[in-house]
Amino acid sequence: MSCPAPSLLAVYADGGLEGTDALAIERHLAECAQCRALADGFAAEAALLRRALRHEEPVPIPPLSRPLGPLAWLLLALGGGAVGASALAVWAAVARAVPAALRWLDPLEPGGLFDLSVTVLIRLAIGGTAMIDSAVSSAVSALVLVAAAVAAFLLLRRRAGAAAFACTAVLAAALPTRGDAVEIRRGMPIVTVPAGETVADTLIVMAESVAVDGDVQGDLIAFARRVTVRGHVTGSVLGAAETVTIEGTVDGNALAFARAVTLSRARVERNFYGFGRDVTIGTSAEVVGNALAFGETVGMHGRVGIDLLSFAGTVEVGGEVARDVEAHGREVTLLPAARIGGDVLAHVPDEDDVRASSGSRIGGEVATAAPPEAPRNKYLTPGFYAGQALRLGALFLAGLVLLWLFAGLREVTLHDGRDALAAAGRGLVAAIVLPVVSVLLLITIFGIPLGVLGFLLWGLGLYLAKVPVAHIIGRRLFASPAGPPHYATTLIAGLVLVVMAINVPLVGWVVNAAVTLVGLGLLTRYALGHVGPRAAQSTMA
Amino acid sequence: MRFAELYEAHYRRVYGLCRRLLGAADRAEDAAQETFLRAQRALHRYDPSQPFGPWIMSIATRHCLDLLRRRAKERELFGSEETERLRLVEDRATVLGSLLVEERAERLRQAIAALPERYRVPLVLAYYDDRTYDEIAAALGITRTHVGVLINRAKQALRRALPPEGRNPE
Repeated sequence: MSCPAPSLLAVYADGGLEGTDALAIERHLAECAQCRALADGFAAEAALLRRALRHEEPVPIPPLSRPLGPLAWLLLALGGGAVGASALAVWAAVARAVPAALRWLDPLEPGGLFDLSVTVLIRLAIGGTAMIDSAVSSAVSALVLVAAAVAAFLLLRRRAGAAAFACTAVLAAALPTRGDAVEIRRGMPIVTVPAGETVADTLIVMAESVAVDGDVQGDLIAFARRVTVRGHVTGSVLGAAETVTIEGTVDGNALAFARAVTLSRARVERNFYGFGRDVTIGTSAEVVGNALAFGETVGMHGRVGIDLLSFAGTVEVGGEVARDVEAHGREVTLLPAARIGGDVLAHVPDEDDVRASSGSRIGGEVATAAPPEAPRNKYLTPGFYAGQALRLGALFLAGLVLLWLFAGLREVTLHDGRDALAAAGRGLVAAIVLPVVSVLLLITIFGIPLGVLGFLLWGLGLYLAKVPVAHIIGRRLFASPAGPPHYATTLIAGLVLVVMAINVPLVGWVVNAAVTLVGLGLLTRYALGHVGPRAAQSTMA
Repeated sequence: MRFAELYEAHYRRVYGLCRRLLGAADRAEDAAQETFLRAQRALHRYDPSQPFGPWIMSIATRHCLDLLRRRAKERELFGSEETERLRLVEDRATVLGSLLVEERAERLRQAIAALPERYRVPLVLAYYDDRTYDEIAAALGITRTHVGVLINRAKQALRRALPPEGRNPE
């Protein structure tokens, strides 16, 4: 027999020949040393391939989970809707207990928050003054430093010593240092600046009770249970306390966070910003600039040099406002003593909720900006579609950046309905806890930057919550054995569906709530999974 | 034995097969999961007197082939025996050898992963899962000689991709 083809020898070496074929080769090999060598080579090659292929890389064993089928998706949608609806019902019940003026805190209506922030920012920009500038700039610089600290941590976490040093250095720089022009008084239960005493610097006080009867030639920053200013502050006053009472003269702005904020016999040369349950501007008090008041009840019986803007359950105006009054809330009352130079614009549920007493005098008009009755069908206006397209585009860009920055989010997935419900629950907790914690941080001195950061994260999280959900939906759409296409494709496809779904009449808001909560839960889970020690280890590995 | 224990015990091997058959890690994980879910559904058809390993590996093979077929542009995943036979060049080229160095072994794995499916699948079944030519032929729905031709073609491609050290240093 002539030498068999090498390919036949290879098959023989693999045991792939049978019967007479195999027998013939065996006989030939007994005679032909050359073919024997080749067959041995093939056998060695097969052994080599076995070794190479069986090299096992250690892979983690994932939990056995069932990918979502159509029925599971339907159940998930129904479950998500149920969670969203019950969350909204709970929220509505909570919201009833919250004054109307604080409804903008509603985590499910970030639009209101956005509008409000824009309004407040514009007001602050127009009345822009040293104290607000310095408050904002210190908040911004603190934020920058926090960001720098985070960056330093991320860069240096492989070297713990260096990282600890960098973080300490950055944090030390971030903390307020005692400058020459600052006097800090703390550790005493009661801090008083008696009448006749003059503090030549900015005064920062933390105490049980603060009473300023003398002069402060700088800003006064006070954190206490009770803050009373009867003297003269040449700069601005920033007070956070249970009660803040100003009876003296403030040459700059007055900014107060308290349960009760009262200006009585006070004169504020610039603007007044009062945040509290009750914000009162007494009969003999005067604010030369604008007055901005947030509270359950706002009473203005004194004089405001420019505009009065208030967000409150009930607003009572019994004093003089040189220009316009704009009030958001349940009801607005203009007492007989009210003298308003400009217009009154009331954002109230009903026209009857504005009560103008017969004695009140209003230079301009009284208008209510109640929601327009029987609005036109928004689905028939081109603006609606343009707006939605804009919304889609903005979400898409933001989502792209998010998925680009955090590649791990592209892999985030929901294994089953229980997983989705857990995510929605987590999202609900995050939606409520984050702003509460931020507010708590805001009313402590060193927490202000963190509180601002918390609010920023909260808003950002609510906005971006649709991204992970949309991406999961997109990946489902393009599920193919060849693997998903580029994440931009899956993201835009998912977003289109999500934006369409949340605009469906009657149920769109439920979908929106469910998507937002599930997405926020996913983001939270991802974020928490990447800051723990376990995540750090896996990144190091 | 509980199913969870079977899963723990066989996952890596099933994943390894899917990974090598499909050629990509991300899809392998899904395929391995799906394999076990199918097995769970079909557990009543499993004969406990037989070892579980070959049974689950055959399910994995079927599932991966389904995936590959769905992905394939041509209907015939493994081509026709005749065409493949014509492509087979009979030569006495040096067999793959002296690949004991770990780096070379890694390159061999990469070269296998880069093979066209029609060559990679039978090669993997033969050397990763130790199937006989008859078993591979049955799994792929082709003849035994076709399997031999495909495996030979696979090896030729690998020999071209990995010439012996020294002759063509890279």
